[in-house]
Amino acid sequence: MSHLVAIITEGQKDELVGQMWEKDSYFSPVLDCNDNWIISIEEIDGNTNPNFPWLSTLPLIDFCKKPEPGPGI
Amino acid sequence: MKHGAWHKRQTYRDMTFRQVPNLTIEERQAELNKKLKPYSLDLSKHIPIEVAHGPGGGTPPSNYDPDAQAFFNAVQGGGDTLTTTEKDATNQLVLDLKDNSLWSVFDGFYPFVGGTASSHKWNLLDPQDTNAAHRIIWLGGMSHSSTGILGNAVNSGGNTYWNYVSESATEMSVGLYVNDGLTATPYGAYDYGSFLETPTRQDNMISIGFSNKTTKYVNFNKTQYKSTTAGSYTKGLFLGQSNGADTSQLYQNDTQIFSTAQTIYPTDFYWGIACSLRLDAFNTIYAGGSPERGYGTAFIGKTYLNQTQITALNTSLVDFNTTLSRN
Repeated sequence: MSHLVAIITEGQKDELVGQMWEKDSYFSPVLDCNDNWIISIEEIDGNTNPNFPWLSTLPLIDFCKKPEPGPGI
Repeated sequence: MKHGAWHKRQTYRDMTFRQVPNLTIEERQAELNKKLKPYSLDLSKHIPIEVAHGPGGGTPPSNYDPDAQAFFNAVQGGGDTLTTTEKDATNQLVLDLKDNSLWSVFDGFYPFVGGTASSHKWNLLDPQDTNAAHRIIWLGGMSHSSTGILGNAVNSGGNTYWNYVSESATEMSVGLYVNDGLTATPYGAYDYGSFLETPTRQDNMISIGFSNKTTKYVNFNKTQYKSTTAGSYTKGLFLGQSNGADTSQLYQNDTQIFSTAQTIYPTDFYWGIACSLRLDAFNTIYAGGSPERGYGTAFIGKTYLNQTQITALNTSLVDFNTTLSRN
């Protein structure tokens, strides 16, 4: 199943870290399989924080998960 | 007609207060106070109390358990609302946990009622808005609804601020009531986890399905993952625990599906709900291994439950989530 995300710059990532996108929910940019910073469509569509109007202009792409350490990896 | 003071007193004694004729309000009040004097009751001093409990004034006593009511107060104080069904179910959950001596064995117990991130953050056992009270901080795109929480398989998770080392724990138990998202094949999905890369990789975790629907994992020692194909990939209670000495266990519902020899090497980091909580290269906490699964309840604590406790816990959680139509 595909999951939509948006690529953001490292500067945008720094802007978002520690900020809420809705009450008691924090932005959490992560790296994708190409080492791009991304945020999820839930954070973009659900954003109620007026400090980040540019979020709604970001193009969406399919998420490519970066392999992370875990069982068998 | 009889006259005189004696007959007047006799007459008044046989009459109700309102029937006493030709008296001013002050005289009526004085007359009534005389009658009530043996009980030291002065109506004028009790009027404020009556007003406080009168229509539109004051709060009637709660019918809920005080701890349940404290939780409701926290949720509602945060601007969220709870339905009567949610309140009744949560109150019953509190009573069931207390009746089965399970109330004090956990540090964090999360009923996920109210349908929002702000209502789902509260710890039933200690509903204070602090990290020390293990109030959850939600990360990434976690979805919240009346069924509980639902991961997005990208970056969602919840930080419990519960750390085995800083809690000075000697044993631990974590678990969730899984109730959604079991159709997709999981890829790298954790249900509960605490991960550090340094000084050596430590991946304390449980997963009901990591990269397929048949293999479940538990691990409390670095990367010495223990796995089993017992049990099923279905809704219900999923619980992992370590006795801190030599045993790690997995339970599904109230059935032990795995018990294995394993000493504990605790991760000195926070445990994340519906993820494996990690630090990135910038020392920012993020939710790794986010699943697509949904959860109706979660808990964590310094305890190692016996079969009797797990049976009671499972019954309580099934009842709770069934009452909320999300089992």
